[in-house]
This record gives sequence, structure tokens and C-alpha cells, in this order.
Amino acid sequence: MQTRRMVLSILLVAIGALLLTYGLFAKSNVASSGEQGQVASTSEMAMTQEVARGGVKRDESDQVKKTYEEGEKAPAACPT
Amino acid sequence: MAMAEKTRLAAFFARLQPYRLWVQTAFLMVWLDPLGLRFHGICAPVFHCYACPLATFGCPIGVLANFSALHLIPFITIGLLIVVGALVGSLFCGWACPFGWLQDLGARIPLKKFELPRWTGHFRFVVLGLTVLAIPYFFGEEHPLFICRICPAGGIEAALPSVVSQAATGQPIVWPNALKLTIILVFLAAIVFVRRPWCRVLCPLGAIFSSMNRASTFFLRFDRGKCTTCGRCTKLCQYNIDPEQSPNDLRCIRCLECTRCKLGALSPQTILHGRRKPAGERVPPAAEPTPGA
Repeated sequence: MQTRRMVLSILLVAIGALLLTYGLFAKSNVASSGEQGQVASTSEMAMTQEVARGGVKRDESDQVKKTYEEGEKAPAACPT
Repeated sequence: MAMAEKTRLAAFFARLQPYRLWVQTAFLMVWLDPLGLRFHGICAPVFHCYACPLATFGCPIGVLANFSALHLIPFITIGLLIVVGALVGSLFCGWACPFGWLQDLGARIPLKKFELPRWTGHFRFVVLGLTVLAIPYFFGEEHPLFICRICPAGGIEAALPSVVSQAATGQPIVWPNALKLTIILVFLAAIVFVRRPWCRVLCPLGAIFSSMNRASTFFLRFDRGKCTTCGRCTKLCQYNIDPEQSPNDLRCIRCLECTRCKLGALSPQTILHGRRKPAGERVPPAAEPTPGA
């Protein structure tokens, strides 16, 4: 029982650490808010920050798009 | 040496147990940052809305739902939840979560408490699957059942402070919609009559953490040899769990109240405990108590 728990927990910690490490280096494509939105690579932490303030949305073409222009103030209120 | 280690961990939590509410309060200094530091790019392993004006970290459930709506996978958040769950299970729910703390405060109001049927605990997985993952993925964040739109933590920690702030600064007040107001009122009424109703019935974060209770490095050990089946641990548990039957139950928030068993039949332990024991010191497993003994 103890061995099974040990193997399982170590395996889970390893999987979690792997995902964490991968996430630190992973990039997502985000288009700017204009009509001809320029696509830029964004780190997951930056994406999380944007998501927390409602700064990105998915449009009809399944592309992740910023909700505000570069240089504009980001939306700060609760997105919902 | 192994025995000493177990005693240290158990003794540590035994000393801390009477001050659990104070430990939770102290953790507020981490989640509600008065210095204005904002690390919303990282999630904390607790249920706390990032739209709260004082939130230091991001909300893992909000991030999971919003990334699902964007058709992206939040690797860091998932990794963090798995690491924390695999290390301590739902210990954060009982000792650090600010939303749990709020519910514990509500439960202190001396009114009759109602017990919930045990099966209601499975709703948490429905909430996780539907409102956090499936609905955001298929219908986007505009859907009325998107978790952030119906989340009481968002209502109490973000919408209400926002109303107060607008009123204080003389701005036009944007009231939360009728659904959110109803959810806030129902939640505030529920925490007075039911212990931790959100955690036990609906919390998707609790569902993630508690599903790892049976595999985490930190766990509750039940020693049948020390148990006299007096039922004290069941009485101590405020969440309708039988700790002697299921010490690492899916619905357990790891408040560790049950470890106040005088005989020490239930104690917090880590996977390292048994491993470090030299072969000569190994104790044979305790015999099953005979029926009626």
C-alpha cells in the first residue's frame, strides 16, 4: 500500500513538474486587436495575466485576439 | 529515527490544530497583498478570484476555464495543481484557502447546522467537467454557465468590492446582474447553516485536490491496532466522513480535526515515514479488530 502510494505520488509530482517546465517555455500565438492583426508569440504566464483581466478573446476564426490596442490601457475590471 | 519523524509531524499539526483559523487568517496576507504586488501570471493553489482588487495571484479555476474558452492548454496551472495535489492533497483547502476561511467564519455563527447527503460531494466533479472545461470550450466565455459568471467567490471578492469602490469614488455604480446577486445571497445564507457548502458540494478546485488524497505524499494514516472504535474521530469530523473507514476520503478537506483522537489512531504522515525505518525496527501490521471487540 505504502509502496503503491509512493510510486503514484512520485509519478504525479514528476508529471506535474514536467508540465510546469514545459509551460514555462511554451508560447501561444496572439493576434493584435486591429483588423489586420499582427500575430505575436506570447508566453503562458503573459497569457494568464491577460486572461485575468479579460485582455484576450477567441474570435470566429478560432484565433486568439487581444481586446485592446498596443499602447492602450488594458481592461482592468472583472471580465465577467 | 522514523518514529521520531512521525512524532514530529504529528506533534507539529497537533500543536497547530487549535489555531487553524489563525493559520488561515495568516495566509490571507499572502493571497490579499496589501503592498499591491500583482503576480496574476501565476496561479495560487487556492480558490480566490483574480478580479479581487487585492488578489496577489491568479485563480487556477478561472485560468482553466478561460484557457478552455481560448482552446489553449494552461500547462503551468495544470502542472502546479498536480504537483500541489500530489504533495499534500487537499491540505490547502483546510488550512490556506481564503474562500474556505470565509465559510469557516460563517459556520461560527451559532445556528443549527444542516447535514448534506454524502453523494452531493460528487457534484464538484460535474461542476469541474461542465462549467470549467466543457461549457467554456464549446460555448466560450459568454455562456451564462461559464464558471466565472456563476462563481460566488467572484461575486463576493470582486463584484462587491467593485461596487463599494465605485460608490466611494463617486463613479456610476455597475451592479452585478440578478443571477450573480442571487448566488451571493444564497451562498451567504448557506454558509451559516451548512459547514463549507461550496467546498463540499461545488468547488472544482477541491475536486482536483481531493482526487489526489489517496495518492499524495502527505496523508492520514489509520492505525487499526490503536483504534477502539469509540467513534470519536467520526464525531470530530464536521464533514460527515468516517475517518476510520476512509481517512483519505474524496470529500476530506484535511482540516485534521480527526487527528485529535486521544489514542493516536489517526495521524498525519508522509511517504518517507515507512521508508526510513531500519529493518530491525519494523513493527508487524496490527491485527484486524475482532467484531464486537
